[in-house]
Amino acid sequence: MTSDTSQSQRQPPKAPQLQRIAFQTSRELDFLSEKELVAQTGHQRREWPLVVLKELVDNALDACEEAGVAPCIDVSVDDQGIHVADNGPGIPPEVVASVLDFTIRVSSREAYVAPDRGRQGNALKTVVAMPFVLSGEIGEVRIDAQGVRHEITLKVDRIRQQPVIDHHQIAIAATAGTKICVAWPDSPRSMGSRETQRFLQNAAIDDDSPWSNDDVEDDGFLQNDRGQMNSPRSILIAAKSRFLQIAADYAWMNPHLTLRLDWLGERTEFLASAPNWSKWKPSDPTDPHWYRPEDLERLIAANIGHDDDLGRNRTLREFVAEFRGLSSTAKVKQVLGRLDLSRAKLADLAGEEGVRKDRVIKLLAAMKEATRPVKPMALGIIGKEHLAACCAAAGAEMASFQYKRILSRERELPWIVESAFAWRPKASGRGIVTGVNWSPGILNPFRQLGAFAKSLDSILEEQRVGRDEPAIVFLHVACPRVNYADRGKSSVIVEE
Amino acid sequence: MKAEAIIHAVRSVTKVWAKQRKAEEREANRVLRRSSVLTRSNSPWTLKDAAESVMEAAYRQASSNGELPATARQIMYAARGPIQDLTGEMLDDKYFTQTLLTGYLREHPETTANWDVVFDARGHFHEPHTQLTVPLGTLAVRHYLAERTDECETLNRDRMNPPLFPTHGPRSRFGAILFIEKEGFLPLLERAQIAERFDLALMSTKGMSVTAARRLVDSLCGEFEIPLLVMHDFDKAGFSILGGFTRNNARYRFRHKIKVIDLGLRLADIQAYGLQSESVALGGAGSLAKFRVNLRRNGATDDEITFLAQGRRVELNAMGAGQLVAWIEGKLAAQGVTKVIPDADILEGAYRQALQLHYLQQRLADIQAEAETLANAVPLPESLTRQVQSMLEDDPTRPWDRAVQQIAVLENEGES
Repeated sequence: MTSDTSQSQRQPPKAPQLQRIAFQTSRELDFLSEKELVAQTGHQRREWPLVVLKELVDNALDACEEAGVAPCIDVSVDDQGIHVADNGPGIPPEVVASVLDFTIRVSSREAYVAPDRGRQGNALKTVVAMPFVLSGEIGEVRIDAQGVRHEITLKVDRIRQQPVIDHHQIAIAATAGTKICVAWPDSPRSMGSRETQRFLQNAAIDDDSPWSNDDVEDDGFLQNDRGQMNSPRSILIAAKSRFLQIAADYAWMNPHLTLRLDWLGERTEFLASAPNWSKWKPSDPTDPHWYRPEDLERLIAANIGHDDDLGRNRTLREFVAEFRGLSSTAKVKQVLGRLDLSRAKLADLAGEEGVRKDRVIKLLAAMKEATRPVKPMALGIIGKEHLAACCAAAGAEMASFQYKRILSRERELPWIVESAFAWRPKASGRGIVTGVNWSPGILNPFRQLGAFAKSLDSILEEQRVGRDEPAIVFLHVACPRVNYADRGKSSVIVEE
Repeated sequence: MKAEAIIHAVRSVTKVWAKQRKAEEREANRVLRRSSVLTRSNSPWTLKDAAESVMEAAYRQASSNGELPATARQIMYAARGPIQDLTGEMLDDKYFTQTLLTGYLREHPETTANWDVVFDARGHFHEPHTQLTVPLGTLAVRHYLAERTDECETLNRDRMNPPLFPTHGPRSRFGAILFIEKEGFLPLLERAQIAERFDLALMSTKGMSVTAARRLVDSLCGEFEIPLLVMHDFDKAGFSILGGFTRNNARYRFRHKIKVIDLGLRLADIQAYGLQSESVALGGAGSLAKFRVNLRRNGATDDEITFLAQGRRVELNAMGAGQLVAWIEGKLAAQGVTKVIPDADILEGAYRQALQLHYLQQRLADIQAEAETLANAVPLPESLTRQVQSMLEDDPTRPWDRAVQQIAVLENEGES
């Protein structure tokens, strides 16, 4: 019995059990991956030098315009990496700090409807992340602004799987503007690198070099790279012609811009044809007529959230007064009085389910009724004279120069289309400059025009301006609300 | 923002380039004019303004101060240098002769009232039976119309052996004119003897009817009340050619209301004969609308417009030779085109003239041997060569054999 008892009481040997731990992984590292950066920018790794250029020059132009100064921008590529310097007011230190928080997206553009160059909301953040992702080990960016040098180094803690951001601030002599240097990995003297080989210069000088543009195929990227097609330096070298082209395109679209380019000592300068040229500035109040109810709802929600973060509770009156045509007390009174919201706070527009749509619709209607829509002309016209000068500088036969401008309004949204054409008798192929809101596209943004599979390329083929034709074509569209097919703003959605 | 606006802007700035490049595709040497076409707007002078300013002097130069007729191309050669100097553009000869010069003649009737400008022939007119062919150029048509007569010619001693009753023009010779928009069909129609079997005059041009053709048709069909039968391709150009005979245009204003009969091709012919169509490039939406309006104006039906607006066309050449001849015969029969038989007076005159000729020929045969004997018996005049030389010096337009004839008659007058 005992034995029976002992047998009945004997427990089977307990199998080892794993008590799983809920590990926490930093989402910040997600942002610092090639996949995420491709998703964020809409561009593959081989196009990243162009992304860096575009985002930094967009920001530089916006900063100068907000400060009311004619932009002078220096873009250079040297053995450290890519540099962009402007003559704007300089990025404040707190903005630099916010850029380094990869848990949030910071944007002064995203929620507003305005003819802005960029609405991505994380441009600088992606630029800071790129050298790290390219290197796989370390990324370095240096920003000089407002008397402070920010030396930013990104590494990754492989154990904790989270980025380690080293942000050193050093006081320097105050100079105008912002200078940003994105250290390009593999660059001989990139910060943290001790390579001394001056491969970049050699590549630029020696036509037989494997990095020479002779090896670049139509899409502009190096194919014959001795097995290193994706190496950061080969990407940078292969992007040379497109890099310089996009930089030059900024001069086409911005008559007030003086642009100096320096690619490993190869210098080009574009002087402003109209330093006092005026366009819609990022700091100009936005027009209520540009908003749909869902746009205004998004802006209100963003403002309420931001106020909440700051412990602020602003009035609806303050919010409404930020719009164009509504800055006067009388106008605000007129709008809010009609809705019986004279004493309301902005947060009063929200309920438990979020911002109340019925209130937004009424508010927007009242704001529109109290204001006149902005005329298309006010957006800013690049102009025939400036484009003629650009064509002349590009070697065009100026008697063949043609220019067309169309100004109109579509469902309250003003827009301007400007197009120019010229014959370049000595050119071996077509030049094409395209852009939206004074910012060139890394790719042609007009790849689908309407619903019938037309594209700018197909129209140009029809018009006998194919890739091999010795001509130059310019197309620019300005509009407060531009719908893009992708996050990288590489393709515009244009209605039939 | 609308796709349409973007497309419009791009097409607008590339319009001149596209036109030039398409012209180069059609005609390779047009590349030589690329520079002048693309830079046209650079000169303050337009081609038209420049032509206006030099035209009078060019005509004077080409016509020896108005003493002689000047061809359109001679005037073009005189005007080309100054026009190119003023505009900096290459002058297209066709553009000058067919647009600038004709426009000038139309817009300056007083200045050009006494000008004698001759345009080249761009087609031909064939009378049946007479073997007479008239090039459709200004001078040839002018001469033909001046010579044609309402009356039958009487027997002329210069025409001792006329093969037919002498006519010139429609009277007693042909009862209709058949116009064909292509020159290439004439050998086939000659082989099939269409003109002779139906007593038709045949007229053809290279494409659109020229002014000389309109003038000829206006005069012959209008004054003799005979119909114009038109054969054309089933396409926009074909309908325009048809319509061109029914309306005045910038270059010619009809003096008569003429009867124009459209033989086809029409859609019913295509369906009846099962003819193959071919594709043709049409323009965009705007040009398609103009295309439809043009067709309707020139008499196309809704069904025909629908067919053609699909970018299809059918040429007369879609029919084989035998099929085409049968088709023409059917059309002519349907229109009641028959042989010409003059009225009783003409028939009587022709009958008596034929007899007169018959008797003359009989007598001539009878005296032929006697005449030969007489001629061989007469001694040659001394220094015949010197006399011929002397006569030719007196009248250089005279041929040597005509001089010999005159000397022979003068020397032997009264001998026979």
